[in-house]
Amino acid sequence: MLVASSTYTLLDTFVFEQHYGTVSSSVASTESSDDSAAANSTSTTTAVKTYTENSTTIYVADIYLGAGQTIQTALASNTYGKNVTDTTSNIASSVDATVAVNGDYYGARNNGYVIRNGELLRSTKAGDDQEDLVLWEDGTMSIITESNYTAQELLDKGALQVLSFGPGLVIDSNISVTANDEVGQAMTSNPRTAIGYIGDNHYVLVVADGRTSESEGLTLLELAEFMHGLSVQQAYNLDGGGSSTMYSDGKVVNNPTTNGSVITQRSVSDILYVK
Amino acid sequence: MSNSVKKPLYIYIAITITCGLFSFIYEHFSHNVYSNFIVYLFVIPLVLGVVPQLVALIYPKLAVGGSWQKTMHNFAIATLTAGAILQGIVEIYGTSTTFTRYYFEIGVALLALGIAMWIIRLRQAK
Repeated sequence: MLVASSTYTLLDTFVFEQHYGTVSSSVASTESSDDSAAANSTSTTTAVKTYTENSTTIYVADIYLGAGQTIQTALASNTYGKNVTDTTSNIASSVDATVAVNGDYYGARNNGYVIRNGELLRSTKAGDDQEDLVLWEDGTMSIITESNYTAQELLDKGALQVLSFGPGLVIDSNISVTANDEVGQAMTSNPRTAIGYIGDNHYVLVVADGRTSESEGLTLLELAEFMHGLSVQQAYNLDGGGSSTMYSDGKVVNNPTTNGSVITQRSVSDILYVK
Repeated sequence: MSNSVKKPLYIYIAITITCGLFSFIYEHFSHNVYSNFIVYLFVIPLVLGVVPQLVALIYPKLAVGGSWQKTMHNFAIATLTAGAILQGIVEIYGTSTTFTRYYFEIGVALLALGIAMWIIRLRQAK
């Protein structure tokens, strides 16, 4: 009986898909589509650069959003649910993304706000100290604490995307983590994914490789310092480890380390992207 | 040394060592993501299994539990150990489940039942 119940628990936690509903994979642009001159002047531009710091290869997608454009999110199979997953590249190609990174893997947890493309999907708090990433409809980004807002309040204030992972790395241009702040109890170098807001529709999506002989990985503090060096006003840590993947122009540009050694993509719940 | 004490003592020592080895191996491959449920897994069979058997060895008059009491106690340890392993796996993966709480609730209930049965037997023996 114990073996059977334990097997069921593991299957329910890691395998059985639970679909709660389908969602939109994009936010409607506020730009006028019939004005070609305006459309040209408001197109989003992206460029991926590679850095090496702390014995780690770091990929930075430098993004200038066109007017009326926002960072968007997409869910695996356009479905909100538990254990509904796909690779970052598959989700990205399904929405014609130019650049994409993995999101917060909301499906691995039962709590924490989830708002995607202006749709409230989960309103249960992960905890009073939980810091969430908020991407607003005016193109700005901020980091809030769940104890200060309900998910509905964030939606009413104009939140297009709310991701619940964290912590915030840089808040109001100041590094907001210390050497003792880690996700769960991951106290050492790991692959990382982060998003940073520099200002005036200028964002960076960052992925650091890790767990390989070529690239050690970053601690949260090292990641925060790197983001701070990119002159971001706000920066937020997303799901890392084997999930950390960057997709650009039709291919995966980093070396995701599923199971710690094999270079292959892990299936995830969601992505952040631009197109 | 009585066989009724010696055999379960050896079994619980073996389970404690096995849990310790499991923790060591699991944590070794978990990329330095730790869960106290895995790290301290060995404490469950050690405190609830080895220690009571050692006490029974030193004070044989306390070894009065019947077969039902022993069964309850063994099930309690098995349930708590399984719950701790599952909770540790879930924490290290960074996910959550509502099921593991039932392991701890049932494990504690079985443990309390076993202790109650042991107290009754002890009083009857006196």
